[in-house]
Amino acid sequence: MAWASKQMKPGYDIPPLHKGIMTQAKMEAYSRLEGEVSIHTDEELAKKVGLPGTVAAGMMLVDYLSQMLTNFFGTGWIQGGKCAVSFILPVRPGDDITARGVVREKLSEGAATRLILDVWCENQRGEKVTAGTASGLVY
Amino acid sequence: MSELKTFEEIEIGEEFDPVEYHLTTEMILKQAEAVEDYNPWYRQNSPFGNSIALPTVTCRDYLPLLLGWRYAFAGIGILAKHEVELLNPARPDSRITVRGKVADKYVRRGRPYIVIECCSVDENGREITRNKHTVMLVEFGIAKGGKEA
Repeated sequence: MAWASKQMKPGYDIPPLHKGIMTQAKMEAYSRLEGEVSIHTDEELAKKVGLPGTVAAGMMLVDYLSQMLTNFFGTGWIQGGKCAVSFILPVRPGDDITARGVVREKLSEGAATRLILDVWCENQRGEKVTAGTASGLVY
Repeated sequence: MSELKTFEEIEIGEEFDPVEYHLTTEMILKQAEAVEDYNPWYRQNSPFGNSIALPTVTCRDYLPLLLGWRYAFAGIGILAKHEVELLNPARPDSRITVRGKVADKYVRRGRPYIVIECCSVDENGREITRNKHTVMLVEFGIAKGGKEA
């Protein structure tokens, strides 16, 4: 299942994950996991804090990145993965989201190799809505 | 409402009351459905033996910590940054304990932020994830404390 290999060099684009159009229904399904009325579900509340309307939960985008990284690293993401991201732009209903990553560096870690990646989610305009670094282990 | 803390009163190092919950198969599958992740590892066997949870299943564990904290009710938090270390896969039907603290607070461009560190552990003492969430606080209007970043 996993794509990652020790032979991969910096600059390698990992297989992206196209998550498709964000909808209010998707945002509400995710927000139900959190169990709260929030800026992800309540238009009025979102506008009250200066947002243009409801926005997707940041953790939803982390889930998208994690799904891409599970596909790429397999077990080396689930046990040993690290990720640090900033939430740059709000994701609104109608945005078309794709998770992407590129290998930046590799380090030896015991018998394994840790591949360090730049990762981000982008919208249909190619704008990064979430960006940071992630790494996983390759055995 | 009279017991709400101000931003100035939040102490770096202040610990939240620990939270415990039962991680069920239903919770795992709801998350998988919500993000349209159909990896069979979350439904059948995985390379770790039986099925496992999505690796991010405990990444939202800071939310129940905040719900039990008086300050959380004084405004709205918007997630600005997130860091996670995935240490071990969580299993369905496990008992998760979450412990956390305020790791930092600061003001940037007039906005107050708090940094929450938390760790989720299963009933066998296995660490599942370590998380750090940076949350921008909105609508407090009292962002005088903390350090300018």
